[in-house]
Amino acid sequence: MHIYIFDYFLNQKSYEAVVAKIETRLTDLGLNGKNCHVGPLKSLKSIVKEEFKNNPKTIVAIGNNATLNQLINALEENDITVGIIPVGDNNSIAQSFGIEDEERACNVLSARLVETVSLGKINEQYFIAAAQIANKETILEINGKYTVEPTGPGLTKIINLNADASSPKSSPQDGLLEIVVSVTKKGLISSSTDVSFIQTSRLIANNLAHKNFLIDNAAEVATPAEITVVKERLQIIVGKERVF
Amino acid sequence: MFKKQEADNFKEAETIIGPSVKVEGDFVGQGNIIVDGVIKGSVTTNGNLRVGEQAKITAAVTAANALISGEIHGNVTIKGDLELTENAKIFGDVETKSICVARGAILNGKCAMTNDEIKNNKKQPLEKTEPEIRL
Repeated sequence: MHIYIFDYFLNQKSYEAVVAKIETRLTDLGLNGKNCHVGPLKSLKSIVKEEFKNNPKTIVAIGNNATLNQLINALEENDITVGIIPVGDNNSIAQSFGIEDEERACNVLSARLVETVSLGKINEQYFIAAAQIANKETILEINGKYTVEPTGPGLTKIINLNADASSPKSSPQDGLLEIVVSVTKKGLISSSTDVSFIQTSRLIANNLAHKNFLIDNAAEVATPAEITVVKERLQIIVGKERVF
Repeated sequence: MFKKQEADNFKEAETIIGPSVKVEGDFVGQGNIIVDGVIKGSVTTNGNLRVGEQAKITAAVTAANALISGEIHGNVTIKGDLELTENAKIFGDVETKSICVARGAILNGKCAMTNDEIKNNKKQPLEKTEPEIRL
């Protein structure tokens, strides 16, 4: 059985038509299942916990990057196939899985092409795409062997899945995380960006200014943080146009 | 001499240390490395190493092949080919199989060649010929 979890923001009136369209399309494709809606008194985590009692075949998150991030963190140690139907903005993860919009997502679910991917783990939280933090006062200790310190303003990204084309070599199936440190240099006429690129499977990141990591453009994680890769952790339904 | 070969090798660089990054410690890489920033400690890779003009490495360096345009303070051990461009500065001993030094490069240290031919020559002792004594 399929479980469809509709994120909280889809309860807004502006999404009524889109939700109805998705439900109709899923019925047309014979992918009927149980529809669950996140509400003020019903979190996504509690829905997942409740539905696991019914041994579902697939859990599908309907929403955006934040919805998918909440779902993978709610799965805990359970092995189950996950799907995504992107709605609204902030859907870079679904796009890198080859799922452009809600209509194509339903077709992708119907085709059921499943790939096993690794997940990034920062402290006790999982992420699919990337964890990012401002360069200022950030120090990375790689594999306990050496430290990397950006010397200018910009962004440090720890990437598992190349969701925004900032790291073309990233693959969620290689068991490695890519560290991309971008430093912006302002010139008189134009500004340029220096990029450093390192691959690793484990690092510890600290920020002396007590800034937090932002994971999957959805949730914040405090520093210092240990970041690792958990190999072959998630089975996900993907489209043919995926980036890996 | 090695430029075309090096250019091909560095298409697949697995690690890039940019000019705005400082690295300290024992940096170990498996693939090709491009260094344009500052490294203190040691640099070891099974692949190729390219040190850019802005790079400053205060470390022992070990790599398969290397193209050096920056500054290195430390010993350099290269299993294959080493090329120093006109901006290269090495303050330390160099051990390599073959070397190409451009005019203007600074190499301040001992340079030892680890070519198989040289090793074989070292192993073969010179034959001592006793002088013939005729009565």
